[in-house]
Amino acid sequence: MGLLSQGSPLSWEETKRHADHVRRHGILQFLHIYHAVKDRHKDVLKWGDEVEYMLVSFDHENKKVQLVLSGEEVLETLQEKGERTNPNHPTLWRPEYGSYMIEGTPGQPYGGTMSEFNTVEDNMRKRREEATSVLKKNQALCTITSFPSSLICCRLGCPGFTLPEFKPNPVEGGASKSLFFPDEAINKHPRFSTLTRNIRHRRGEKVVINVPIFKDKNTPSPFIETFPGDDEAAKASKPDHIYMDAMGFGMGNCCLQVTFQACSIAEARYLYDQLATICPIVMALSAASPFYRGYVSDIDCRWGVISASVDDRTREERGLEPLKNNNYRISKSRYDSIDSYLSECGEKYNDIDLTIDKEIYKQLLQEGIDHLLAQHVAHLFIRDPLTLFAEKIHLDDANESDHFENIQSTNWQTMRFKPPPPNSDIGWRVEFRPMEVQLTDFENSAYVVFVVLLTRVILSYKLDFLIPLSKVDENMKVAQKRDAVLQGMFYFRKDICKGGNAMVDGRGKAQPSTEPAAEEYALMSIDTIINGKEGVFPGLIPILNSYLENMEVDVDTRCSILNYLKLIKKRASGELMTVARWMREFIANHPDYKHDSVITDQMNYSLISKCNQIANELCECPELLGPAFRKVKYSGSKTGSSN
Amino acid sequence: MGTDSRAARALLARARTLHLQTGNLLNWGRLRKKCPSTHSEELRDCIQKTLNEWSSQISPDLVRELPDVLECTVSHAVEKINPDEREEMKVSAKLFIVGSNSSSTRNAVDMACSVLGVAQLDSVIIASPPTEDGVNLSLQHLQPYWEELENLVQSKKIVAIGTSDLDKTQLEQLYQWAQVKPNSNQVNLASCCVMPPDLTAFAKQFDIQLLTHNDPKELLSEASFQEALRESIPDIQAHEWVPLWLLRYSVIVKSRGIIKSKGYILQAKRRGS
Repeated sequence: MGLLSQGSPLSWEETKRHADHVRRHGILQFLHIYHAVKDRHKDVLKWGDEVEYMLVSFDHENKKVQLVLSGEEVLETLQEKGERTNPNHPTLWRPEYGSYMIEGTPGQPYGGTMSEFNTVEDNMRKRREEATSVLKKNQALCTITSFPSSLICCRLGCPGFTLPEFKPNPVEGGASKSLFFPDEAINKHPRFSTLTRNIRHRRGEKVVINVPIFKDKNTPSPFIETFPGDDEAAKASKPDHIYMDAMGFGMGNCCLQVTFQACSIAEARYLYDQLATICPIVMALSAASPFYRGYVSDIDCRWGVISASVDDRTREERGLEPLKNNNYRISKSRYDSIDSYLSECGEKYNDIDLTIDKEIYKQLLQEGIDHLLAQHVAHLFIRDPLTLFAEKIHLDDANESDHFENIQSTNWQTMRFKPPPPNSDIGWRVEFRPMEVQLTDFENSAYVVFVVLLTRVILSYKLDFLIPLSKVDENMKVAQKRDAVLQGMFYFRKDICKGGNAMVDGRGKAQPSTEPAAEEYALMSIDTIINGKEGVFPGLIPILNSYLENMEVDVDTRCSILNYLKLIKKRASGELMTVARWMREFIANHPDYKHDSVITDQMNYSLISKCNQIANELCECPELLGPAFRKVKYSGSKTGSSN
Repeated sequence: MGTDSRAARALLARARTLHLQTGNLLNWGRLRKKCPSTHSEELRDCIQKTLNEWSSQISPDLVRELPDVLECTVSHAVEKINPDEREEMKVSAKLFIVGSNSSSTRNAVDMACSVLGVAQLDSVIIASPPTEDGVNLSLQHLQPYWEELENLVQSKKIVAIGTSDLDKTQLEQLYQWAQVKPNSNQVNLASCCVMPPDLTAFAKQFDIQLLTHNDPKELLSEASFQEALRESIPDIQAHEWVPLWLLRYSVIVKSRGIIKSKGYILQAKRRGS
C-alpha cells in the first residue's frame, strides 16, 4: 500500500497547507525521472505478484472466528527471520491496511523464461507456510477478499469481529469514527490511521458505502437498518442496502496484484492500455466477495466498496454543491478505473471527460512530455496528498520521489503506470490491480499466470483490445454484479488483430478508422471472450494456447499452465464456480441459514473453517477447483506414479 | 481465388522443385475472427494462401524463364532477423520429414538459415520420420537423419539437436549410439501431466530437456499437400508433386517471452523429374 515513512504525521489542515508544495515538487521529481530514463529500452521481462492475507483465529468451542490484530508483530517476526537475515530470502512481507493483514511477495522478481511460471505456486505455498508457522494455536492465514464478519446484532458494545475485541468508538478525534469498525483494527503504523482520518476530514464527513442487499425469500422488504441516535448514519444509509462507514470496510479487503517490467516506456504504455480493457473481465472471473458486515449482498466483487471507502471528494467535488472552495468537479473516487489511455493507438478511444490540473499539464508539455502522458499525470495530480510527515516535506527532487509517489500511490486505479524509482536499475512498469484474491495458492497462481501470459500474447501477436474507455467503465459496473461471470455481457473488441496484413487473409484491407465505431466492438459474455465462439471471437485461451505451442515449454511447466488455464476456462464457462458463487451456495445450504440474507457468527465460522481447509488442502472442493485437481497434482509430483 | 492461375500452372508444369515459404505468420493477421485452428489446419491454410499470394504476383519474365526451381513466397511477410538483435533471439526449428531422404536435413537447415538471415540455428528438433504401417520407429530409422544433424552441429550450423515423441527405450538407444547427444525430447501435450516415470528419470539423469508439442502424428501428408495445391491452382497435375520436408521455425525474444517470428518452409519435388 505505498511507501511507509516514519515520523510525525500531519493533520489534514496542516497537510492541506502543503498540498501545492507536494504537487509542485512531485511534478519536478517526475520530470527528473522522466528525463533520466525516458530512453531506457531493452529491459527484460521481470514480474511479481502480491498476495494479501488475513490473520484469523478460530474459537472451536464457541464456533466463532475473529480477525487477529497481530499483523504488526507477525510482520516483524517474518521480516526478522526472512529478508533481514538473508537478502536472498525467497519471500518478502509488507504491512497492509488492516491490523489483521499482511502482504507477501516473492523475494526476487520472476524472470522472462517459461519455467518461471512453474515457480509461482511453490513460492506462494512457501509464503503461506512461512507465515502460518509464526501464528499461534488455532490461528490461520486466509486469502479471503472480504471478511464476511458478523456485526449485525450490534451498534455499540457488542462483541466484535476482532481479537482482542474492541468496541468501535465513533468520536471525532478517532480515525474512522465508525459505528462498526474499531480504530484498533487499523494497522498501527501512523500512515494508515492518518490516511483514514484525513480522507474523512477532507471529505467533510464519514465515508459512505451502500452495498445492495441480496433479497432472499425471508429478507425484509424494504430492508432497512436503523442507527438510533446517529444522524449521519441515518442520512447516509439507503433502504435495501448494507451500510458501511469506514475505510476499513474497503481497504481492509484483500487483493491479488501483478506488476511487470516492460522493455521500454512505449511498451509499458501499450500494455497499460491493453490490460485496462481486460480489468473488468478478469475481475468478474475472480469474483470472491459476496458478503459484507454480516449480510449477503447483491454484488460479487469488492471494487465499488473500496472505491467508496476512500472517497475523499468533498460535496462540491462530487457535484452536490456549487464549487466554492474547491477547484474541480471530480467524477470518480481516487480508487476507481483509469480515465485515459496512454498509448497513441488509445488516443481516439479516450472518450471520458478528463479533469486535469491545467498548470501542471502546460508545464509537462513545456518539458517535452507528450499530450497523452502529460494529461495522465495532470489528472493524477488533481488530488491532494492525504498523508504527509513533518520530517519529509523538503526533499531533494533530483534524487527522491516521495512527493510524486505520495500522489501516485493514492490514485488507486485499475491499472498503474509506474515510472522507475530514481537512481535504480528498475525499468518502466505496469501494475494490474483489479483481481480479487482466491482461496488457494493454485487459484492465485492460475490468475497471475493467466495475466502475465496474456501480456506475452498481446506483445507477440500485437493484439489490440481497445474500445472507448467509457465502455470499459460500463464493463466495470457490470463486472461487480452478482454472477456477472455468467450473466454479464461486456463490450469487447471484435477484431483484435491489427498487426496483421489483411490482404493475405483474403478479406481486403481493413481500415478500422473508416469503419463506424459501433462496429468495432460488441457485447460478449465472459465465456465468449475467454473461450471463444465460432464466427464471433477467437477467445483469449485459444490464443494463449496457440502462443504456448510456439514456445519451448518443459513438461512440468506445461502441465501447471494447462491446469491453470483449465481453471480459468471452466470458471468462464460456468463449469466451475467463482469463489463468490461457491460462498453464496455454502451459506444458502448452511443449516442455520434462514434465507434472510443474514450471516451469523456460526455460519461465518463454518465458512471460514471450510475456506481454511480448502486452502491447506485438507479437503477437496471440486465445484470450485475441478474434480481432477488433486489427482493431477499428485501424479505431477516428484514421486509421481504412472497412473 | 486462382483467378490468374494460368501463369502458376505453366510454371508448375515445367519446374522440378518447389520451395514454399510463408514468411512471418505474425505479419499475416490470421487470428481475425476465426479461432486459431490446429497445426494441420493452420499449415494447410498457410500453404494455400502462400500459393494464392504467389500466383497472383508472377511476373511475365518468370513465365518466359520457366525456372527449374520455383521460389514461392509471401514476399511482404518475409522478415530477416536484424543482426544487431540476433543475440537476444532464440531461433528454433522443428523438421518434419515427409518423403524419406536424409539429405533433406541439410537442405532444410540451409534454407531456414538463409530465410532468416542467420548463420546458425539455436535448436533443431526432428520429428520422428514416418515408418511403414505397423512398424515401430527404431534407431535405424532415425540414424541417417541424426548423422546429418550431427554434421550440422559439427559445422556450427546448429547449436543443439533434439527429438520428438521418443519413448525411454528409443531415447536411450539414440543416446548411447549418438556422437552428438540429444539435448531435448518433445512429448505430446496430452501426456505432459502423466509422464512415464522411466522417461522422466532417464531424461533427468542425462540432462535431456523434456519439452511439449501439440503436433499431430502426421502434420503434412502427401495427399493433403496435393489437395492444397489443387485448391489454390485449379487444373494442376497436383498428384505429381510430393513434399519432401517441412520445417517450422520460431524466433523468440529470450528474456521477454515474446514470439518475434514464426513460419513454415517446405520443399516439394515433381515426381519423376
